[in-house]
Amino acid sequence: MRNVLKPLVIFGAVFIFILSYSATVVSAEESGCVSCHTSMKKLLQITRDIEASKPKVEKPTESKGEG
Amino acid sequence: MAPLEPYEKVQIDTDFLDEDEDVHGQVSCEKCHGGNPESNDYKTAHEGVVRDPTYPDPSKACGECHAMDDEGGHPGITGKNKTNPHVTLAPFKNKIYLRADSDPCVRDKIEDAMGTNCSACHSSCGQCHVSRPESVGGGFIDGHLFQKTPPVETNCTSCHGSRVGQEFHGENEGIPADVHHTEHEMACKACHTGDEMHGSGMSKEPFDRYEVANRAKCEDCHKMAGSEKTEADKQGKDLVHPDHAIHQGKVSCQVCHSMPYKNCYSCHVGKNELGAPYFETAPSKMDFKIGLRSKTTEDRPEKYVTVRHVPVSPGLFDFYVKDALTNMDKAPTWKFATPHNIQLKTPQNETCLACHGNNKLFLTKNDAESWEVKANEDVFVPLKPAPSVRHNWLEQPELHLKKVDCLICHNPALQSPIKDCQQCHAVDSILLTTAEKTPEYSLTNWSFTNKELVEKGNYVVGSNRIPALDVIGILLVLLTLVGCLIHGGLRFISRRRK
Repeated sequence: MRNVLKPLVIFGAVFIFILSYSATVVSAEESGCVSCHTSMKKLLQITRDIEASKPKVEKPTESKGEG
Repeated sequence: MAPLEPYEKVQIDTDFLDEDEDVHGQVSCEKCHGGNPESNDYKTAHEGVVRDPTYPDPSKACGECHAMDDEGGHPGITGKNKTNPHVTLAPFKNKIYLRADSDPCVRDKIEDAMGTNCSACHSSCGQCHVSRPESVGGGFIDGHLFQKTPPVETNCTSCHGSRVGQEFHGENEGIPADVHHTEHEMACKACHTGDEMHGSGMSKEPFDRYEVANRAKCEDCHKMAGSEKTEADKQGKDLVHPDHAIHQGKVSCQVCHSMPYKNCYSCHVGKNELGAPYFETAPSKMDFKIGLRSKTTEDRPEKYVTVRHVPVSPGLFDFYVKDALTNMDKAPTWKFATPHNIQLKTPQNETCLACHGNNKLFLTKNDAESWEVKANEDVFVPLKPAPSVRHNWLEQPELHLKKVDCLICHNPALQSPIKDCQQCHAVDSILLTTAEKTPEYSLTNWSFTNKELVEKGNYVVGSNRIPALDVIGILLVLLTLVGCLIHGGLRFISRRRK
């Protein structure tokens, strides 16, 4: 009986070990991106900074007619 | 479409993270977009970020789940993408290269010009199902929640707006909105299915956008009366009007049922001093033109179709390279079109003669600039003589055309039109819808025979008569003869006596 149980116990232990250390799917919620991209306050500040740092590119005034 | 503030474009709705709301929120951001989620600084966090991971190749971002072929053998997302005109713009590019000079250097410059000015107007999985297209400024449709059906305003008409969108929604002055919009509140997807949008079922890239498989067809809903229908077909009204039997397979639906639509002219592209691309077009014109379709197919057998002027011009790429389009004759500038302002009743279908013989509706050489005459030779409609001339074998052709319903003689149930006068000009005229008993010929019967025709305002020789007048006429003739005989007899007798 012991001979049968031993490999089963070892297999179970190894299985649990691998499962706990294997790469699990990380949801968007756990991603660091979410804290900023769900906060209007943070996004307002960051997008203002980005807009301010970008060279001002005006829409070409030469365009005439319908696209 | 109201523009989005910069923060709105990238703000994720927390519902996106709820598995019940959107399963895509269960995938980590960096798996699709890259970047460094560990960083707290937005600059380093965004290093290597891919704004749209679905363009040009969605196989990595979408393919893991959406790449499987369906049961019908149609390719999944990855396969569809290769032949999807929304992504490849192949039909548009094909037409430009058909007109382009064969010199490889010129073609390189055209490629450059199109890359700068034209090719931004593409779409992708993400730019339909997650965000607005880049060409209109981008930004999430609804906080990064995936949309199974892209919204009309933010996605469909944001690109297909100045022609299709304005036509469909009735935004062109004096032209009503499409009846499918006003009466049935149908949106784009009611006709244009996902299969068509993805170009599915195509083994190779379509040369022309009308070659796309599973494209919208009026006949999908509107069947001839009595034809076999599926449950879905029953949504549309049957085509009961006899005109359908006459014109089916010869004239496209839009020829009779669309209103004047927008035509564009003379597009030129370039870059300003700051390197920003710009374009110029001549003012568009609202017009309605029927042209010929030289290459009819089993799928589209109609020869007479509505045609729209496309904005291409010989000087389109002059800013980049002169004489780029030296083969303008290779493709027509009046192109097969399916205007989206369908009405049951239109000026051209009011009567038969509103179209037949109305030469201004048909595209002729007079509608083309000298440089585009050859390109459109197969599209021009050879004008036929006026209906009064074509019917001049009849007595009083103008009167016949004015008073007789065309379908009486041009009966769709007959193989050829009726040319036998006796069919109408007889007591049992085919013009009658009721079988009247022939009235008695007597001096007391002062009413018209076949009164139905007279009541309609038509007097048909041979069919309408007043029996009393007939009797009186015969009596007058007989009395005249008798008078002549008496007069002659008396003269004969008096001469013999002398």
